[in-house]
Amino acid sequence: MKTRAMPFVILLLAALYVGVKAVRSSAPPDQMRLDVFGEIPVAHGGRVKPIDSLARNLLRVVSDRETFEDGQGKSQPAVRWLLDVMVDAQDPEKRARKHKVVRIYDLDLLNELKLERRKYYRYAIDEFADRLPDLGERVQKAREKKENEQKLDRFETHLLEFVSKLEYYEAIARLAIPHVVPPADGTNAWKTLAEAKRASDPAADAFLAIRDAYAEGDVAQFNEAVRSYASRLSEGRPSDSRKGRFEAYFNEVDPFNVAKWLYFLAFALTALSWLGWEKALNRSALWLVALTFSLHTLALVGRIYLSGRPPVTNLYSSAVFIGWGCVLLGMILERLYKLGVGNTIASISGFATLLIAHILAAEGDTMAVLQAVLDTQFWLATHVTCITMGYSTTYVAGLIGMLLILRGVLTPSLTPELRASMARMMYGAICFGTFFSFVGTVLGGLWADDSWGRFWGWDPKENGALMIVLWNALILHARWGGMIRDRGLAILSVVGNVIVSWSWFGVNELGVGLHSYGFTEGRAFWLVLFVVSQAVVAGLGMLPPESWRSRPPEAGAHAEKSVPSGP
Amino acid sequence: MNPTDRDWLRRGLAALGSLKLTVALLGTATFLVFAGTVAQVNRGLWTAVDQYFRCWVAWIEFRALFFFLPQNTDVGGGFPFPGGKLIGLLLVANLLVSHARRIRLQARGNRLLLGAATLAVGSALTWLAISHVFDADSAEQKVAPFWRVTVQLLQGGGVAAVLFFGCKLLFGRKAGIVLLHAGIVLMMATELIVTYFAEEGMMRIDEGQSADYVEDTRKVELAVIDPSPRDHDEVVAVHEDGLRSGASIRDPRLPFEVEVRRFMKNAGIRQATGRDTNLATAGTGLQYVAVERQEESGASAASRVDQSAAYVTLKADGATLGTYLVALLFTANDLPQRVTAGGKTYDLYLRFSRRYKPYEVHLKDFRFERYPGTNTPKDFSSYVTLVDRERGVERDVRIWMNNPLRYRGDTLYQADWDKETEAGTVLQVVTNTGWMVPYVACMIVATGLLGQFGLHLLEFLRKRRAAA
Repeated sequence: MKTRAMPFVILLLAALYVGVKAVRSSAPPDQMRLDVFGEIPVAHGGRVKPIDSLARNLLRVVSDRETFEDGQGKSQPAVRWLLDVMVDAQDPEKRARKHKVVRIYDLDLLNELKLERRKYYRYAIDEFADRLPDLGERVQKAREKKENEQKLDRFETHLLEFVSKLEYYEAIARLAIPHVVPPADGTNAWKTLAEAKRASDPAADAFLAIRDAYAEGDVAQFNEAVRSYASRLSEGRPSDSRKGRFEAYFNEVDPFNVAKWLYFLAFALTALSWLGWEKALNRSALWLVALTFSLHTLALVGRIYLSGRPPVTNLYSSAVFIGWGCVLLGMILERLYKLGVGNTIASISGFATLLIAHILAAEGDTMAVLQAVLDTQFWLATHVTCITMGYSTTYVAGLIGMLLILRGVLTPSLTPELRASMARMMYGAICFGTFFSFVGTVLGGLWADDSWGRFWGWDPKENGALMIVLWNALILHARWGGMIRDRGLAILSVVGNVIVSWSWFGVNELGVGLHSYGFTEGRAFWLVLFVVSQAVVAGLGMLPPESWRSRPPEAGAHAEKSVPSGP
Repeated sequence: MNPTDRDWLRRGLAALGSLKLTVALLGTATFLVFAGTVAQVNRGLWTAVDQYFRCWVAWIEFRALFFFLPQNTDVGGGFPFPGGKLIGLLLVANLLVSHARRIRLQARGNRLLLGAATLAVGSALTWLAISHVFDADSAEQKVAPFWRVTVQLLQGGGVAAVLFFGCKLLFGRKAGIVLLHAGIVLMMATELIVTYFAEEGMMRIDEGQSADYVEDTRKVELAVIDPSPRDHDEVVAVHEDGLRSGASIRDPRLPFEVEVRRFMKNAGIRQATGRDTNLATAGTGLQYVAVERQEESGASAASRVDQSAAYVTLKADGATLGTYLVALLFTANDLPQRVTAGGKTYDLYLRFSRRYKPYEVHLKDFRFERYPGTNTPKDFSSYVTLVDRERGVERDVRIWMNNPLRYRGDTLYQADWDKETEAGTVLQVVTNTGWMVPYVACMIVATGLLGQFGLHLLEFLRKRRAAA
């Protein structure tokens, strides 16, 4: 009874949760329809996107969040902040200057601005505006240093970062951001409001009517102006309007975030299953992972529709896609073995990668345009997809390795059968990892050859990919040669985690490392931490078998029979 | 017991073909690639490539491994390590011996004949694909990049399928292993060929101008130009390899002897002050001095070229004509060093070393497109006329991103443009007849891997079904 009912109940609850999330709540009629305003497409950063995305991206840059708290401590959408800044010139209350959104976490800078430290380090412009003139000289000096490509110290870097946040404020206030008015001709030269006004474009007046109604706080007029502007656009630019509406909806639902927490829940279920009710909990976890995976997939498809590109175009989308690959593989393994291992892998990797993606999203628009050479759909679709699948499969092997070592050393739960099954899973994952990373790496070389005539250039990113191929090949040959058994396979796979992470993040840090102030900040810090954790796990794995809490099978070769032999 | 010679040979072969050696080599290679990557933080990309990969014995600097330290930190010393060529050679030897020792023919009689014939056909097809029988010497590519690349990969895929079939007949279950390793040997051989035979250079052309030479931005040359003949310039150039500090260059074609006082791979040029001990005694070097700088790093985001400079003393008939400062920067500003010797005036330039081509490229127009509201380039293309007097060719071609021009064994790619005027193009010109090899090799290895793992997977699933 329990075995059947529990998965159903959990699945139903989760589906209900997703359903509630997916239904848009609309504002009551006596309030401004900020949500409809947010759907209006504008151009910024080389891409047409809804105002909602623009506001979220900009607020994220300024504040590291996509919402802010008003004076009453109520959470408000980014669009409201954007509108407040846009009406700054005609707003007697100067609301925009009172929102505590500018994030300043450099202590020296806080001192300079005579600000007290506070939780989350978010400040309103009014709180420090009078101190700004004193900083002018230092800003000037830092800028000159940057132009001459000299090294900036920590304070100078943070100072320039702070100034660029204020510049966004200022650019929005004088309507230089975004490019609101679509081109009348066939070109893609969108105009800013200021430019359009000069050209006496009627669209500019229609948009300014929205702004003025907002400034006056006239709800009816605001809603009417938004409605008429939106319908005008959907006639003139139906595709942009449709995408704008969908993207705003996508932003609000935030499916990757929903998926992240559902994966976490699934992981909690698998963890509980180690204590008891194994069958029911495992099945619940698998069903929950499957539901979340479909949401994950739908969200990926949504992004492909919005960006018009293959799934992976930058670091953010690589995290989302690597997670997708890991979850898929985890589910397949669970289907094949029904040991709970696949569930654990799927839920952990789904949660971790979506968390990483969430952090990476802080760097700005996640669908930003690409440099010209990267703008080749064929290569993006083949090379990048293969490489990321290679990352996924290698990570899956590494995760199984971790699980094997941790369960074996710390718990008595690693039975010889479980151990042999996990070794087979690792072996399979590494085979696929070798295939995908090899093909992906070579396709990358072919892309380079096709773009600038050099198949292999020993560039850091290429080298990172090559290291994964070499390492996977090493593991396979060591296994075929009987140099390692289950335990060795697990240890080497855990080292594989380090190599993939190096290739994924490390080499990027290298390029940045030249101009930044060390390897201990931000991403690099987490990378080092991850490497250390993997070293610890690998070290545990190297403890003599007698000291494992799960005693390994007698030192015989009977576990080897299942493994195919090499040349 | 004294082992006989045959025993030694057998043991040696066993060691050379052992999987232990494979694993050791793969581990060594992984580390070398890592070291060669982090070395790029403080060394130029090409220095790192030469010092780590394209050599027999690499010298790994401790400084490279401590890449995370601030840039001006000094860490001395290093250690020798097997270089890229050595590891590559050993891997190939290991692979060949291990296959010879372990892979047995699984076929007899007709099956053997058929397998051998299929393999022969496959090898012949491979050869044809690699030597470009299937693609024309195209001066204009009308097909979309997507199709062009797909067709190239399909060629490789077709070849690989034939080869796999042959291997399957001959080697049975180990067909995939044999095939994928053959592909790897092919691929490693390519890298070797590229090292020795491929050449690449840049062709910079302003709108309305032509060029019939490419520049190697990694190497410079000292050009001594006699502009006196009416219809052409007499040029004698000394390549960078001869420009070592302390070298003395005597050549009957040169009007004077050149003594290299100091050669700097990368240098900053600044105005001379009274406090400098200036080597130069004539020319622009009197006002400016060169200060040696670290070589540009390949991993740097804005990967730039080294600004080489040199102090050279010129002597004729035992008399010193003066010590001059020559620098790439002067050349970029079209500032020659003028020297008079034997009644003639010569222009001295330190410039990128040039290679002349049998054809000429004339830039008619350079077009540029950006993403709306940004500086990110979306697309840029060069409208050029290709002129080959030898073959009587003169035609208009458009070269743009991912759409190179392939002509007379060269491939001309749209690489860059003049950032200041936006009216000049930079084409990357690569001479590499083996460019098709990686396409074919890639598909061969992919087919081998897929065949091998696919067979295992099917077997595994069949067993599971049987067990259930």
